[in-house]
Amino acid sequence: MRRLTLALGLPLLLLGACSSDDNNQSEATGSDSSSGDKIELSYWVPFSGSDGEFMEEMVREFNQSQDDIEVEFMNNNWDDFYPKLRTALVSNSAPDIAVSHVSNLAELIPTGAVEPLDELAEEAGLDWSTYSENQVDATLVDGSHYAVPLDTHAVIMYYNKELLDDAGLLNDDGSIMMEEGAEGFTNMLRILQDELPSDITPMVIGSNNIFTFWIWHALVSQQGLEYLDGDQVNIDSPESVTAMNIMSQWLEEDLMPADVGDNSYDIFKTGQAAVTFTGVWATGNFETEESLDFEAVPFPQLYDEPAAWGNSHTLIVPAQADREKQVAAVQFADWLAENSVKWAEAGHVPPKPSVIESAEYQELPYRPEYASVMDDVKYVPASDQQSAITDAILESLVKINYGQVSVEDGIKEAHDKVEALTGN
Amino acid sequence: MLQLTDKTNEQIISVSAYKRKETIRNYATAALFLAPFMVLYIWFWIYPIIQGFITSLTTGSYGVEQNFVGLSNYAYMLTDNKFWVSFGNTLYFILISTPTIVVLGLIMALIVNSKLKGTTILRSAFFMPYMLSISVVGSIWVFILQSRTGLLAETFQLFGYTMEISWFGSWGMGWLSILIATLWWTVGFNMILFLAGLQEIPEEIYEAADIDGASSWEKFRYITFPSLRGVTALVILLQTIASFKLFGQTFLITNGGPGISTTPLVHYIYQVAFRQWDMGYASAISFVLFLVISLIAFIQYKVLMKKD
Repeated sequence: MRRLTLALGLPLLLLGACSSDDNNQSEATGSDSSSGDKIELSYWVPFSGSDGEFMEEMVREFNQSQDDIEVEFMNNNWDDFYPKLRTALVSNSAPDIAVSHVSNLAELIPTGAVEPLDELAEEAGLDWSTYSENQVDATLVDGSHYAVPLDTHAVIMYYNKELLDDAGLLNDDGSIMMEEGAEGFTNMLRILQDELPSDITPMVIGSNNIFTFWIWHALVSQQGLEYLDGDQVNIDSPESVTAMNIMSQWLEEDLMPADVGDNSYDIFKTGQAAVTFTGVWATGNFETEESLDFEAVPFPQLYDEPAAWGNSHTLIVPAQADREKQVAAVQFADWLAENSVKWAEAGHVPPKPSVIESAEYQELPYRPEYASVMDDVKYVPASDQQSAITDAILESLVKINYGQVSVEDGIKEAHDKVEALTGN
Repeated sequence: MLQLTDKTNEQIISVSAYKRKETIRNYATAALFLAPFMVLYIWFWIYPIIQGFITSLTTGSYGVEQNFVGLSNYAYMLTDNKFWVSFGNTLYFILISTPTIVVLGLIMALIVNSKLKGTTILRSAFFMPYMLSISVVGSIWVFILQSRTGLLAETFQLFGYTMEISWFGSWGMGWLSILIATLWWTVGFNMILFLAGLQEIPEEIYEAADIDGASSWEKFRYITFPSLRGVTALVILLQTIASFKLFGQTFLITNGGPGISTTPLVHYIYQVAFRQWDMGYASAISFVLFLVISLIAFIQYKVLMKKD
C-alpha cells in the first residue's frame, strides 16, 4: 500500500509543483504592485549588434536617474524576435514594453494585444509634438498612436573620400562631383571605373540580400510609385522596371560586383569599393577602421523626388491589467527618445528635432550629415502581410540580379506573388 | 476419484483467479511506474500533434482570428507551386546527401579504425564540428565560401588567381554549398556509428581470412561490408529523416535563394508560419511532412532490416 501511495503521489507531486509555482508567482507580482515599491518593467529588444550595448547602457542610466521605475533589460536574437514577440503577445506573456520596427506594427496590432497610447501618453506627460512628424505619422493606425518612435534608420550613401579624390571627383567642400539624376550618377561610377585601379570596384551593394529590396524600394519611391496602396498592388509597373534596369546596368557594366551579400560592408570598409549604399548602422562599424576616410550622406536622388528606404525602432506597450506599469512604460519610452544622443552613437537618427539640434548631437562625427534623411524616408507600406510581401519581392529581385530571369518577368513574378498574399 | 477431480477443479479455479489477480496487479504496477513518463509524453508530444492537426483545419492570421475550414488547406497544397518546389528540393537533398554521408562516414571510420598513428587526433577532428551549433556552422561556411571576400576566394587571390565561383548564386551551387556544410557538420556522428559497428566485428574472422590468403579488398568486401549492414541501415534511416528536417543550413547560408531554389520544406513551413502568420496552412504542411517521414521510415525499416 505504501508503494502504491508513493507511485500515485509522485506524478501528483509533480503536477502540484507546477501549479504551486504559478500561485507563488501571482502572489509575488500581486504584492509587488500593492506595496508601492519601485515599478518593475520587463523590456525586450532585438539588438544583436553593437547597438545592444548602447541600449543596455541607456537602461542603466535610466534606472540610476530616478527611484520609481526599475527596467529589466532583455536582449533577444534578431532573427526570431518577431515570432517570439507575437507569440508572447498572443499568449498573454508579453513583456511590459518592447521594441518593434514601425514596419511590423501593422502585423502586431491586429492581435489586439498592443495598447493604443493616446490616453497613456497624456497620463505619462508625453507630448507628441516634440517628435518628428514623419516618424509619429508612421505609428498612427486609424488615428490612434500605437508606438513611441525611438529612432529612424535608413539606407544612405557612404563614399571613400580618398578614392573619389584620386579619381578627381571630389569638390572642395568634400561632396561628390556629379551631374543630377540617374544618368549623372551612373556617369560618376563610370569615371571611377576608368580612373581607379582594376581591383577596386566603383560601387558595392548587397546584390543578393535584403539591400536589393531596400534600394529598389528607394528607387521606385523616388519615381512616386506606391507599390502597395491599400489592397491595390502596383508592382508590375514601368517604375519598377526602371529601378531594376538601372541595377542590371550597373551589374552588366561591372560598375558593381554581382553575388555580394553581407560582405558588402567589408568590401567598402577595406577600401575595395568607392561608393556603397548601406544602413546608417554601419557608421559605427566604419569609423573603427582608421585607414578609411569616408563620408556619410543621404541616399542620392536619381529620379523625380527625394526618397530613401527607412524604418524606425519604436516602443510598444502590450495590453495588460496593470495600468501603473503601462504609464511607467510610456514614461520610460519618452525618456529614451529624449536621451537618444547615446543611441545616435550606434548610427541611428534621433526621433526628436530638439535632440538633433542639440550641441551634443551636432558634435558627433558623421551623424548630423545624414540626419536630414529622416524627412525623406519612405516607410514600407503598412500591411498585416508586410514580412511575407518583402520576402516575396526580394526573392524575385535577387533572381533578376543573378540574371536568372529578365527584369520584366521578375517584376511580374513579384507582382503575382504579392497579389496572392494580399488576397486579390 | 470424483472428490479428487472436484478438488483439482477447485484448485485450478483458485489458481486461475489468483493468476488473474496477479496479472491485474502487475499491470497496475506497470501503469503506475509508467505514469510519470506517460503524463509528460502525452502532454508534450501527443497533445501537440493532435492540436497541430486541429490547427491544420483552420485558417486566419495567428492570434487574430481562426476559422474552421475543414480540409481546404490540404486541397490548396495540391495546387501550391511553392509547396511542390520545396518538396522536390527536399527530396533532391536526401538524394545527394544520403549516399555521400554514408560513403564518407564509412571511409572516415575505416581510417580512424586502422592501426595507424595519429588516429586519436583524427577521431576528435572528425567529430568536433558535430558539437557546434547550426548558427556557428552557417557563419563559418558563409565566411569560407562567399564571393570576393570569402576565405577560399582570398586564398586563391593570394596565389595570384581569381576564383569566380558563385557558391550561392544558382540552384546547383547553392545545394552543393549546403551539402558541403552539412557533411562537414554531421559526418562525424555517422563515423562514430560506423566505428562502433567496425569494433564489433570479431578479430578471429580476419585472422581466418588471413590464413586463407584473402586480400585487403576481399576482407573488406566479404567481411567488413556485410557485417556493417545493420549500421548502414541505421545511418541511412537517420540521415533521411535528418534531411527531411533540413532548415538551419538553408536559412543561414543561402536564405533559400536565389528565388526559392534552395528552399526545403521545413524552411517553407517557417515562412508560412512566422512570416505570413498562417498557422493553419503551416500546420497542414507539417502534418503532410510528418506522414511522409513516417511512411518512408516504415518502408526503409521493412526493406533494410528484413534479412537481419
